[in-house]
Amino acid sequence: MKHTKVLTSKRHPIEIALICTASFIVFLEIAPFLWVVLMSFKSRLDIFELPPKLLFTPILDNYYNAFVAGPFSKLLINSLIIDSSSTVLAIAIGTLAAYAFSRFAIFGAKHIFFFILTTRMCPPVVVALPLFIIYSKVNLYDTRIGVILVHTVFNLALVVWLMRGFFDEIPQEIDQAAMLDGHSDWTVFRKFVLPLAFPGIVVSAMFCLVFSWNEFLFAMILTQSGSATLPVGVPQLVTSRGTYWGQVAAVGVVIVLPVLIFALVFHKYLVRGLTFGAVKT
Amino acid sequence: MLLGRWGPSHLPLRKERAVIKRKYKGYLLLTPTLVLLVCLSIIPFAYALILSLRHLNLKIPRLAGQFAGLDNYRSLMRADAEFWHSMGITLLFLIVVVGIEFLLGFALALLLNRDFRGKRVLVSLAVVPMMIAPVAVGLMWRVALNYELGIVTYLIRSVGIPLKEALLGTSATALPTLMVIDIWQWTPFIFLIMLAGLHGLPKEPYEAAQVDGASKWQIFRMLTLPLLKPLIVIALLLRVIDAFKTFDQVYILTGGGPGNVTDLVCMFAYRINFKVYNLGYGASVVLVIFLMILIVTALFYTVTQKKEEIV
Repeated sequence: MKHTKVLTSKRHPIEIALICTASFIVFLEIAPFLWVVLMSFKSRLDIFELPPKLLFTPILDNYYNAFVAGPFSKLLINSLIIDSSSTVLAIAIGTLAAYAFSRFAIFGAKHIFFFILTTRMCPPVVVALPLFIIYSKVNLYDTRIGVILVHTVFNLALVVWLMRGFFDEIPQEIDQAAMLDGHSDWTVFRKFVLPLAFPGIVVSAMFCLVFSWNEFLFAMILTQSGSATLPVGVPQLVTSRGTYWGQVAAVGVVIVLPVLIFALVFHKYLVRGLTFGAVKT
Repeated sequence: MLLGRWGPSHLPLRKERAVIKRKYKGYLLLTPTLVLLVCLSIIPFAYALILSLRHLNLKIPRLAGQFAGLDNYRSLMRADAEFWHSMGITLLFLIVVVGIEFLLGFALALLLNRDFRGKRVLVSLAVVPMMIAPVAVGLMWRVALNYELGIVTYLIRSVGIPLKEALLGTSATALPTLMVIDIWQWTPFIFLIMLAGLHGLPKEPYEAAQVDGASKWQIFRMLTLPLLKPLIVIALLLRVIDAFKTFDQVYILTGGGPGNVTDLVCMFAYRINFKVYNLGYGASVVLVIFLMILIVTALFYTVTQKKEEIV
């Protein structure tokens, strides 16, 4: 395997064997994805070829059929709009709340903090049906704003929990000193604390982007065709007349690629984000 | 503990008023969050609560909205074989996947807890499956497990095991296949957290243990495990919550079938609400689910808050 070349020759043979095993496991983790990437560039004939062809003439038909001829460009645009708007909203609102938890006296803070967490841990299916009924009544059904709001709420808990941790790491003395200099609360927050918490904001925003991008159940239930997102559109490629495997692969690659890049870039903060800030790295 | 720190005693008298002001502004900062949560979490939740107390089945119109008291819960608890079947396999699913993921992930973390070139890339690649959309995971595996063109089917056949039917289409193999996929997807989560934990361990106790001549196993049992315990608990609780919520993959891969062998509890709730349209009953199902998640979440909350106090 190609991973072996990263090892130095000085190592103990057992250690090399261990690292090779680990590399193999990692290979298994990404193999299905590599296979789908290959598949997305194959013609319908090549897809059905077994053993799978590794050498073939790559074509872009699948991408063309899904995104130019098919409906997926519209879904992609919906996804991008919903994703970015809900992230901006969740960050704007959640950061304020996190700052409040970190610096202000709030009655029942512990309980509110816990309640906010439950909104995130709760399976979407619990509130899906009531939300569907309410959305139909207030004309939010199948609107982008509707999905944006749900995704914002879905991400709020994460932002509040993560950002509170980041704010807590900033010494209170900074606020105190700034206040003694006569700055208002808002200025203290905006000019002194927020810049220091900026890395936290970037990390939180990235996680919001990923979760909203990946979210399926709410987006499926609360939209029809007008404001559906990418994940919602994919199952429709599995039809009673057969499955458009090539297009499935192409859309799959488009869904996965941005997140893949994210995972590589924000590698350092993954643990912190995934544990709601409980584990700081 | 945080609130006490900002007491007036730290500041000169002149600024006392400013501190009191700060109290009120806290609520102001919290308001947008609470408004959104009330509108999109509490109101729908209360709605579910009301629905669960009524007979409301869109397929049986004469039952439209009669008050049912606790009837829905009663029949759920006592009589519904499908619900208990679903709970049973969810529990089995939880124990198997979280157990194996923990062992594999921890082992992998111990294995890779050394420096070598290319480690960063290896770790980054390993975490890809859990970051990508569950829908995409489902589709990827649906392709890979396809009876005609799937690479997994092909590999199994080329090893010499005859496959008469698709793995996901057979009662005996459908649930184990889902478990394997979940293990594939989430082992990196445990791995990543444990690796971070191992990385952050203090050096001194280990040096002392070595001086004392402790064996590797003793060091692991007496030092590493106790030191990592808070992390292990956090990782396991988060995994339990997420595995309990598994829906997208089931929806894409099996839809709960064949029969109802992969009807994990969120899938079950979805079916009752959106396919059978038994809304009153469905609401009682989701509330029972919520209660269970609430218990685990409370555990998670307690553990994380305690940990912060220790640190």
